[in-house]
Amino acid sequence: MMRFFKLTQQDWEKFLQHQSTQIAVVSMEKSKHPFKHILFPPHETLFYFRKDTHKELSEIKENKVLYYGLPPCDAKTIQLLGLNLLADPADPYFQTIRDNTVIISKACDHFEPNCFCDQIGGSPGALNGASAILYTVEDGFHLLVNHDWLSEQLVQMNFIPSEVENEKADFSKGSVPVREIKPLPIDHLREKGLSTISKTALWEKVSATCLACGICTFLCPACYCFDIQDISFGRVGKRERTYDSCLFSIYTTEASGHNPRPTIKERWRQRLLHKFTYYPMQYGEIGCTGCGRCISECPSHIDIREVIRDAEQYCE
Amino acid sequence: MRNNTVSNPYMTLPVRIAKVSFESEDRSLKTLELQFINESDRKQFQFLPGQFLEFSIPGKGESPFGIASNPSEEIIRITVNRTGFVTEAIHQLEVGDFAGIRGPFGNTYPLALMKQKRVSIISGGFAFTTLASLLDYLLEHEEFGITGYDLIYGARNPGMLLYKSKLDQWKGNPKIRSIITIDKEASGWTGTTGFVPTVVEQSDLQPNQAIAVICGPPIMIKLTLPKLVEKGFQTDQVYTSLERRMKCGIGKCGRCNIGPYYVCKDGPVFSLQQLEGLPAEY
Repeated sequence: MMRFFKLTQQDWEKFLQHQSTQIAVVSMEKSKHPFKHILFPPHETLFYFRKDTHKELSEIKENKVLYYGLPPCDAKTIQLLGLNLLADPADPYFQTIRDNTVIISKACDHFEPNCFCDQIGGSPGALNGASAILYTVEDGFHLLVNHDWLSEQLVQMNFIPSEVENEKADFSKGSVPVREIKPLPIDHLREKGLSTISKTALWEKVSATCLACGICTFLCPACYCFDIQDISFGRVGKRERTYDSCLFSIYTTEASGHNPRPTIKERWRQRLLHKFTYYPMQYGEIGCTGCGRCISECPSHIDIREVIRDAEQYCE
Repeated sequence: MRNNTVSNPYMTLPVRIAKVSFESEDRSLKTLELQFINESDRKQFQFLPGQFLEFSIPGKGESPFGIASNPSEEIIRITVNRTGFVTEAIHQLEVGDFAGIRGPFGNTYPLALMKQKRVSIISGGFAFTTLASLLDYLLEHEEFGITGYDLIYGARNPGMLLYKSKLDQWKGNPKIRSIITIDKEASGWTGTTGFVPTVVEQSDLQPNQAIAVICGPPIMIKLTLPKLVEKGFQTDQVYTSLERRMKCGIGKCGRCNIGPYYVCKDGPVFSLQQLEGLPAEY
């Protein structure tokens, strides 16, 4: 049930202090490294094995952690990754971390140069996948909570909630920036993206300067592709998964040498269409949060906003 | 800490290698028969033709293989082409060795659709594995009322044909019209010669009340499909099984994504109709 709390600065500090006596409480902020790295680590041990006895042992830690202060676009990771990773059969590693993670995001007070959540239907004040979101107001904070455990914690500390009658009401009004900016034409890709598959000119243009370094995918809050590799230490070892990228040639190269996506053209097409066409076809949501990391960190200054605008012209 | 008994889709079921044999003359293909260590695992491992498994050697890694055995057999059979790191290690395995498998994964051939129809199986090279399972299964289950079978199967040379004793058996079955072909003439070969697309072109495959299933190297599929279309097959009558460099087998790792599908989860069997308009990334 969604609830709404009015807190003073002191209340908020008291709350955090109280929580930190019970569970791990971690302060976050928007950084180059996405929150994804915590929910879905770049390297993760699936299990340990012994080659002689053929025993496998998996270690899944259940530590409850409260993260607060991260931007809404980072909170959205939990939602977007979950669409894939929690689909049957659920990924037990992601599920355990997710079930033990409480996120209190903080509405953004400004747009950074490459932010574009508001151009793809999002907002710097959206709850997204967070357990709660904190809005800064003149006399303290407004906390919108969509998490039963968290609500209970607050109530136990004698904070008085007000019931939220209309869950779609805009609670961010007045505490987040609004700007006049043209939305990106993502609906074209969502509905007609498949028609761009054969448009070689488009893919040649967007991939021309790409180094295929993969930084955009590693830092993307919505990318989840991974590789599985074994590491041996004599008779024991572990099976590990690590991030992988659709921009790498080896990602799809088969043992025979055949590569279904032989050049960066096909790989860039995969990256764009997986986010804006295939993911919506599969799960109803685009695989993008508008965080802008892929723009800020691209060594070739490729701007996905421009690619989306370019692609619009090729949608039929 | 958890152990193998807790359901974790990444952990393997232990198997013992019950039988190993070279399948091809050039020793690049080996067939392995796998026996589950735990009887309950075999009971749980219920599969149908078309599905695949992940075969794991700890320290080496995992690779996906189509299941070649008939579901009613006690053992699980796979045929492995020695071509990379993991398959090299699999070829080193001997009878009695242990390994792990996960699965069964993916969908099956369109068995319900095949009822009361003619089934035309077209294959080339070592992609024949799951089709052997299909043929065995349908022949055993008369309730499907399959009106007849075509089997067009080609390999580079006689030594590269899979499951030769089965091929001989099927040859003697009046319900099956089989054409086994090799790429070019070889001494001692009295059967058909020629590439699969040409053999299909010259055959009298009938699209009426028929389902065609085609598996083989990408180039064979690419050249054979137009021949089937010329014969009047519609795109919803032709099925193929795709191969991709898969890792997880459960639609998570993203590697086998084609359009809105994961080959490992939504496939590996697709109708041509499903693949129309998607990138030809296979």
